Amino acid sequence: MAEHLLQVDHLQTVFHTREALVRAVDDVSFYVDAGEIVSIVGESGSGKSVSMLSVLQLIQMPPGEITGGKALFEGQDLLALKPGGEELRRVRGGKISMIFQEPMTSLNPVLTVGDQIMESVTLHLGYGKKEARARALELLELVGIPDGEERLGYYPVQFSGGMRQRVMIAMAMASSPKLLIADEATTALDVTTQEQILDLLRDIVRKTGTALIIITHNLSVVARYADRIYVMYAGNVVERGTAAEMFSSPAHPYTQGLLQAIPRLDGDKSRPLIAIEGMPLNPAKKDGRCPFLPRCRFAGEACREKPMPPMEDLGPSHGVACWQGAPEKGGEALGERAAPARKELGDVLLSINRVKKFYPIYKGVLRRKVADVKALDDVTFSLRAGETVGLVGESGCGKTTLAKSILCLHDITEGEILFEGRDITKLKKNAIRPLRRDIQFIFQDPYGSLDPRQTAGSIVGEVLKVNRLVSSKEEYDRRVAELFQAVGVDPALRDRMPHEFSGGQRQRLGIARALASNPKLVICDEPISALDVSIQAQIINLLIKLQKERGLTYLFIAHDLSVVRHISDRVVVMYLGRVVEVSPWQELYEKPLHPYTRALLSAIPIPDPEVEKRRGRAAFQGEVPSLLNRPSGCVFHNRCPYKSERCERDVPELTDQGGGHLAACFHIPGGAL
Amino acid sequence: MYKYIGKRILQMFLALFLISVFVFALLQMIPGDPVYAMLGDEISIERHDQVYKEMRLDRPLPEQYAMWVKGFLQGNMGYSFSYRKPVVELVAARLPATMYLGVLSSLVSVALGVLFGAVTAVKRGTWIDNVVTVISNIGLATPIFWLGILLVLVFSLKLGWLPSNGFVFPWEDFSLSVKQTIMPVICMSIGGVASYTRQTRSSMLEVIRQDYIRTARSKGLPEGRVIWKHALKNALIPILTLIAVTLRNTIAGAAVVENVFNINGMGSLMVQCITKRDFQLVQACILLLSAVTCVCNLLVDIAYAYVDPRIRLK
Repeated sequence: MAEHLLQVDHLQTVFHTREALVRAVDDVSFYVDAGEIVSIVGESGSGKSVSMLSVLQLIQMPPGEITGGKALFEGQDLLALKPGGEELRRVRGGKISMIFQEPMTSLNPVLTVGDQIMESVTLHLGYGKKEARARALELLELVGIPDGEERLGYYPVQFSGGMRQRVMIAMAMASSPKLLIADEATTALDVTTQEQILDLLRDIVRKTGTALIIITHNLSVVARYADRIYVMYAGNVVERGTAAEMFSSPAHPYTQGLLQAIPRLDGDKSRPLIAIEGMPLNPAKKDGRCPFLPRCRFAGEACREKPMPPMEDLGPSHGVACWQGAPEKGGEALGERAAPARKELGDVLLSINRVKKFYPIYKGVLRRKVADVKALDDVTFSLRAGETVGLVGESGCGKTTLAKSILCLHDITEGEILFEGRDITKLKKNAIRPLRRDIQFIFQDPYGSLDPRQTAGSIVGEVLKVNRLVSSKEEYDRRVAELFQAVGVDPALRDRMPHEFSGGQRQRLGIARALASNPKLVICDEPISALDVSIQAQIINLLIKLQKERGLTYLFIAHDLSVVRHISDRVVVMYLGRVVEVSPWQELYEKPLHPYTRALLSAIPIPDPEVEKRRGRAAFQGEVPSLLNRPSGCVFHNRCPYKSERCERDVPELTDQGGGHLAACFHIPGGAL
Repeated sequence: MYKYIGKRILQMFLALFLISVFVFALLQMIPGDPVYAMLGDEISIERHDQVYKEMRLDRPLPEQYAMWVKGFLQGNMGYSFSYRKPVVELVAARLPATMYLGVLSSLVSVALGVLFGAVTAVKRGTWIDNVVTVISNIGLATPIFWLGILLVLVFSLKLGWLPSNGFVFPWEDFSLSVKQTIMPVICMSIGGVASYTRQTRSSMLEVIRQDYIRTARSKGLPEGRVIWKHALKNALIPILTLIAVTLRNTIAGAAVVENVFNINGMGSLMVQCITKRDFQLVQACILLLSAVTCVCNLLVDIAYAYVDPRIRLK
């Protein structure tokens, strides 16, 4: 067998915690060849990052401990090297470099980026100051940062998230490593920036022959970029194979489940998402059997009695660890293809008319107003009762500001928001309170948004008491139990505290809390983006079910267009505080009109390598500018491939292009686009 | 950056102005007649009137204030009745000693505190950490005057190693100066060392958990470089805040220490002039020490901008 660049055999890493021994990485084997892009996919706690950190002995020891296995890198076992020793340090950052998830916190804030890049250069290549500087300039050019000479003296705060990630890559490439590890490197970035960074990484691989390991939870990302894939679950590799094999014939029930659980941009909307039931297994609770057993649809006698299944080859590159061999793909059979029920929509429930929200900027000793940050600039759209409107856009587009305006959490600068025909922006404080019953909110972060000192029952039931919606203790208890059941949490758990629940369960409690007052409108602000992939589908399905049962109207805010497409009747696209396109869901995806929408759609990877190869990609440049430097005229003009002089001067109005499809662009009619 | 410093300097002058108004008002706040309050009841009416005029107490208050500030800026800080000397002479003779001890003990406390703090953070949970933490808690709780007396008792009276009092500058007599300053500096810096140790430890522990430290390690840097170059500079930011606070305490501590060790500095001068009701001298002392504190705070603010680019670039 030919020697691999990095070959990890039977790696075992445990963490000693007070309660138990956590087998975070349990007998994991994989390899990477030079010039190859390999991806390790898994949810939080699956051990994907820990495996890579273990290879470089970068986990905290104690409480971590590498208890077994080998990591052969160019024939040398990295795990046998002395921790913190000279030889290991030469490999770290020299031959194997890492890029981390959070570009905002992964660079040292008090050193210039030049210092940080040159530090790696001098350390591993032994260059002098002048040569190191030249090399750093070269690296900045490699990662696409212009004006390198000047930028070397910049501090991380002076860069945007995407630019910082580029700096991280420049730093990682400083010593021309043989292997680059990107640990969720694009998860914290905007969709369009994520695409740029991943393209950059792929170009680097092609240009330099470096091998790349992408660690991610996002299967779709992997489809576009990876050659081979390892799927991890609870510390085990459960399936391996080429990207094509993995997406066309997934063998492990977990892989199959993941693929069915994510909505696809090109998928059939009538296909219900098939959630993987239950919670991901806590690695502390492993009992030596298949870790997926409690959630597996195909589990049989063998799975319950035998220990963890070994990796069996299905082909030269494809392998699966499952006692059932490769179970039949159950997806099609299970997902009953209900025709999308035509929704009966009621009257206009909420109408937002030319809403502006400006934050003034003051300067100088006298605090004179010098400018406005235009968080919302002339936003207009409406929701009808029973409808789901998706609101999409990247960071800074004003999604959350708009949600707060609808909830009357702050005053708007101009415009009106009509709820059931009544302008709610000019209400007095005591008139707002009854309104809160009708408009409820589901938050993004299920961890921060529940009071840690309140029991689950009182979090959900508080709304009932405050609004006097129940008249007796019995009625209160009955309603709380009913709400728990509606969101699929056992009412017996009502006396538990929030920290005793998992992320998905907490989000369910958040939904129950929002539903307690029987609202008419529910604003969901990124309700699933903090959850694991296999849990996301559960929550989406729950939201859809609740809408059917209770006739709710949703304003669904998200940055993930595939999810928005799946759940929405209409979609509103925002960019830098302006609405650029409003469209029925189907048309938006088949016939997007605004160049920004097109770019956004093309940036979203589809979890299918075959489709990815055929897809055209919209040319797209730059990052979302700061609201402080908002471009004149059309806000998108500085990134738009179709811009003309007029775009720099005039602001395009949102105009109807037929069939309720609105777009704000000068270049739509005539097919020039 | 310059804008930031300019703003701080402006703020410093504003603070000094307010302090000067307050110090000036001090004289007006003394119950009864200020001349009798200063010179006692036994003086003749003529003497009283003469002094009353000399001190320009017959003029309107704003004019008195303006004259006082003007005189101060010209080096005429008034006349000390108890020492029968111009205030400026007294101050000129005594300020340097206090400044010398203050700066020295501040340096000692920052250097030792940061070192101890960094070491305990890196060696967290080991016996070194435990021992230093216990000692620093004791240090925080030790009264300065008691420690001073104890040191004198042991090292001067019992062992006879160090002189129990007096002060000379090192450029006058180096070895005597070193011997004389050891104990005062220990007293003045012990609280500082203890609080810097604690602050550095907790801020280092915070910094070590950060993602950029993981980045630094993954670059292959030796652990020492990771700690001293990447971690410490970040950990210093909250410590600078503490320096501004501790400086004030050090100067206040001088009053006690100078009395215990019989050093002719501003601290002992101030204690004496307060007991002798020498108000012009009190005014001058307070104003000068406030000015010194303000300038130190300004330096700390500038250091802030140096250490943290986020402030510099704002």
